[in-house]
Amino acid sequence: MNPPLVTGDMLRAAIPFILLAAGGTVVSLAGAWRSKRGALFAALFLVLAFWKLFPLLDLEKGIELWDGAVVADRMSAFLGGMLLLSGLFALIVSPPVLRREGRNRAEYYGLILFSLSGMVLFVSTTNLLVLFLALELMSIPLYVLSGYNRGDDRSGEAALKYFLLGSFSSAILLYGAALLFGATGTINMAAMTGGDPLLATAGAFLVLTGFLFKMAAVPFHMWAPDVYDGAPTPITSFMATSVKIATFGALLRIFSLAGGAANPFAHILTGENAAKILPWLAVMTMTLGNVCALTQTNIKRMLAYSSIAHAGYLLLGLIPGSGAVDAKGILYYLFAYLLMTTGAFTVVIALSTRDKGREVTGVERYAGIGFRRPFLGIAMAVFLFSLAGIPPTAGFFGKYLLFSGAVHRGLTPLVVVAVLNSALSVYYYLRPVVVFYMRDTDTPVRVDDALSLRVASLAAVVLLIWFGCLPNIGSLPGVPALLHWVGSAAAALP
Amino acid sequence: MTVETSLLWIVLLPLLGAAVNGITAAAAARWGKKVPHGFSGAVAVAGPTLAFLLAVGVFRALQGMEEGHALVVNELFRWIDAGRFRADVTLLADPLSAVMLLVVTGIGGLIHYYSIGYMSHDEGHTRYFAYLNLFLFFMLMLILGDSLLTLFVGWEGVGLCSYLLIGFWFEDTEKAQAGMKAFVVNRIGDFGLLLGMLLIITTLSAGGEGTLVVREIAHRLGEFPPGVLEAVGLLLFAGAVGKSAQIPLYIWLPDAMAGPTPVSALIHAATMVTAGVYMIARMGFLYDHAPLASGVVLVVGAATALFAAIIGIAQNDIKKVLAYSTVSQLGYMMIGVGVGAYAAGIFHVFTHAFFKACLFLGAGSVIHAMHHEQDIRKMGGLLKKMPLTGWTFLVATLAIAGFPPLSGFFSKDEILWKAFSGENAALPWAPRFAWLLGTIAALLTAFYMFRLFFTAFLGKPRGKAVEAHESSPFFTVPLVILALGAALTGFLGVPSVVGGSNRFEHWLAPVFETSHGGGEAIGAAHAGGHGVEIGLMAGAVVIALLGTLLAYFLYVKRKEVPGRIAERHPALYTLVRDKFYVYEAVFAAVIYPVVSLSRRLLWRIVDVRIVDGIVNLAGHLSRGVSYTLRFVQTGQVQTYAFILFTALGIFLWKVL
Repeated sequence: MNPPLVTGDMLRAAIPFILLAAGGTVVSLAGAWRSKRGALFAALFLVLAFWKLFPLLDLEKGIELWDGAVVADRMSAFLGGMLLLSGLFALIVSPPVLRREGRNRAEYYGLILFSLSGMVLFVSTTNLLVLFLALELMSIPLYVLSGYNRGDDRSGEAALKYFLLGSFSSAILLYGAALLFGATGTINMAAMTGGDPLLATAGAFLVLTGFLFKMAAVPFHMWAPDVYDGAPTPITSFMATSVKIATFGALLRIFSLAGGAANPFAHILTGENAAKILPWLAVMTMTLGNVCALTQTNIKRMLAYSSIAHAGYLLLGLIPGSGAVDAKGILYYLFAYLLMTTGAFTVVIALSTRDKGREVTGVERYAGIGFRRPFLGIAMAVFLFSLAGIPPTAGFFGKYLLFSGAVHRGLTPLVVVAVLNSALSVYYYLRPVVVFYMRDTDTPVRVDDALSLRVASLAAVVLLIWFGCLPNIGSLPGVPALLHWVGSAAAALP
Repeated sequence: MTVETSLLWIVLLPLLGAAVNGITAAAAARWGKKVPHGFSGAVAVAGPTLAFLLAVGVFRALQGMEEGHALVVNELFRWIDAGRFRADVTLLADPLSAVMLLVVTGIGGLIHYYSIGYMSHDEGHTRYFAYLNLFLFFMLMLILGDSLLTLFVGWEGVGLCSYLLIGFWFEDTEKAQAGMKAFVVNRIGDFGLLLGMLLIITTLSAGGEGTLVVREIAHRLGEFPPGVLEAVGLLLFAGAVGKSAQIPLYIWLPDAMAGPTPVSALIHAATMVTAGVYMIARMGFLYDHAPLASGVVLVVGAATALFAAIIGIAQNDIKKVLAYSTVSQLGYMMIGVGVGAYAAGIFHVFTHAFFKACLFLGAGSVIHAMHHEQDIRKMGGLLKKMPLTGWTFLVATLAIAGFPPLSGFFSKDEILWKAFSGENAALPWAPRFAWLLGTIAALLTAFYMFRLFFTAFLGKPRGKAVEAHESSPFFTVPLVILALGAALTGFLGVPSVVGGSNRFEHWLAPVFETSHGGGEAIGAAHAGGHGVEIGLMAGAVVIALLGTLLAYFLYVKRKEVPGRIAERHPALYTLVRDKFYVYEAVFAAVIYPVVSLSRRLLWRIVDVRIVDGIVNLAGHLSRGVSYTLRFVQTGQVQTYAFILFTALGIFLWKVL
């Protein structure tokens, strides 16, 4: 007799994804009654999914379903947790913005849940077909959400650009997947071996390009500043964090499969010519991101370029050098990045104003805000310090882990470039702080005092410092506990 | 409550007090309100008082334990876990830290109480009490930490608080600068301490896990090569030179008088400056095997004792006299620990805490009554005007001058005897040399202290002294308690020669027992017989008497003589009055060249032209590139797609 197609074990592994997808449907349908409580419903499903995800963190051995279509292990659980956290932040900070617009509609939150379900699936599959489906599932809601600000023509423009260029990249990824299938005869990346080297390498590289586009690595980054700038700020924050977590998480899984030299992706990591590409990409990404951020006067655009630069630092962790991919460093860094970026965008939301339907986020408008709004000022300073990598924040510790790991793998020249880049970045990160505290104007600035914004930024500040420098205090987890989780998640990979 | 928990609370209570007062002060400043004086005072006193009671409990518990195993340990949490180095925050009380604990909380508590009276008219009293509590907290961390790292946290914290308190009246630039000077000079020494700690870690990492836990270091002392041992000893001593105000880094201490007088009492008597002596006693096991480092401690201590005493003769500011006397007494303590007589050194810390706190608080009482007049030449006859202050001051003066049976006699005599009979393998002449300098300094101590007493308290009232009257009980109660201590604590350490049992040394013996395991290098080994010891004791009494009589002769009987001496030897007088121009010498030899080099070469040329030039160039370049790249970001989807596919093409071509 054939084994049953679905077992309880399988259901347990897939349930977070199912809950998110179902939640997306339910919340969207709730829009039919013009429900104002979309965010609450969505948060309910999200917490439920989180609760179901939590036990997976202790999985001894990964569960593989349907020939690698869904893999549940500690890695996917940890990444899923971060994704849900990013989604939760988006749900918390969105309502004030949408209420300002008078567009607080349930489908917005439904779309966030759909996108999240795609991301959770994206980081827990080794099957090329499912990978593509997950990619589309996470991207299409984001295209829609980018254009959610109908009153602002930049929002629509952002959506269109993102959609067009995103489609190109999806097509490239799909083409790569086809080549890989043609070369190896399977769509399960874990089982791929051999095949025509030219075909396999080309396929792997095209798939990689799809990822590079999503993480906004230079030179596939062109869409990012425009889209980040035009999209509603909560969506920008959500995109900038969750999409990065999803792409780097999925890449970690794929690259860790490339242990066997016959795997097509091993060509990219260790092949004679191809292995030079990743270091170049990393250098270009961090340098261009930082250099372009220098002259931005719009804080949203500045953060967009900064997120490109951070993708560059993260790429360092994907270069095996003389060792293996630095999953631990990447995971920790993603966690820090999630908190500091979301936090910074939250402050931007609180400070942004509207002028004829357009969102205004110029830095210079906020002169002296640090003294008039002490909490916002301090919170923003913490986020920016962390982004710049200044202790005692998690941003510093994450950079330390990534860079020291790279040095141990023999990548010292790259680390030198990265450190120089960090130094460069201090300039533009500190400029808002300078404006906040060292300039003053008489023009009053409107600030959104919504409780949810304060809660979100306070939580981000506390977590950033807590997981940046504190030890385990009693049963409260600190840095060592986080490192332990990160380590056990990384150990779940082959 | 278990003893372990009370150990934690001893540390936490002052911190809590600091937090409450600190937050209140900040809140009051924010909303422009005033904090009731009684409130902040009560909060500030509560912490140390409760801590003192708990400390007594800990002390009793230690007494009840088996000798040699008297330890209370409270492991709090793991602080650092990095590769081969681990650091836990653990509180540890043994007989040595228990003694310090009682001194810090007890005398510190009295000083807090006294401060309520002294700071009653000051606007910033809440802030003041917050700092004072914080000071105590760090000092307790320093004492109770079981590793050099926790000690270092306290060490630096104490430095920070001294900066805050010395510069408490920061509106006065000179006072703010005194705070800065204390901080910076201390940092120089701290640098040595830090290097010493790092050297310990690197040495121990070679043979296992790097650690800074004192007991572990003692246990693994064999892993240190002899040369490294000496280096560690010297580096740690550099830290002690800064904190305990030895030559040449003592220059911060006299300036530290700028702070409120209770602060001076706290810094000089109960906390801070004793930290260096405590640290060396704590690391005694190491110094026993580092004869050169011990010899240096000994010689520097002796030189400081004499040198500061000489300067003390010609000071006219009541607080300055006391400041130099502290420096001099610290020199004695260093002689004690330098010759391996750690118990004697700590005993002097203990007795000194009483009489010096009494002297400073007495001086504070006088200054308060004299409306901030500090020049002793403008005082006089205060004994009649302020009897309690005057008589307690006299008791403390007798104690510091070394009259039996007051406390200072026993502790100072113990140190000099240990120095006389001590040995040092690296510098054989050092112990006798230290004894000689110490003995001369003892004569001078009696002289300058009685000069102060006779001038300020006897004779006819001058100036504002005419209207001076006794201070409130906030002042006098601590004075009486401290005077009693100054008079009586000596009996804890009566040497066996005169029929005592030296309970103090006996109490501390288990702590230093380990250190005398290999005491072949240094130590108070061969007693020169009881006769010699008693002879020296008698000599000390004679010397104290001599100094006193000399002061009596010069400042009561023939008041014109000192003026004539100063006239006849103007050079000598100015030399002593101006403190041998040490600060000026340091300024000319170190500070001026460094500053002018910095200003002329490093700043105007290297920094402005070269460094800034490069930085500006890099900045302009980056911004230029950034502006150029903006043109690529056209906003046209076609451009973006073009770049995407072109890049993809190039990469594919390269990859394949």
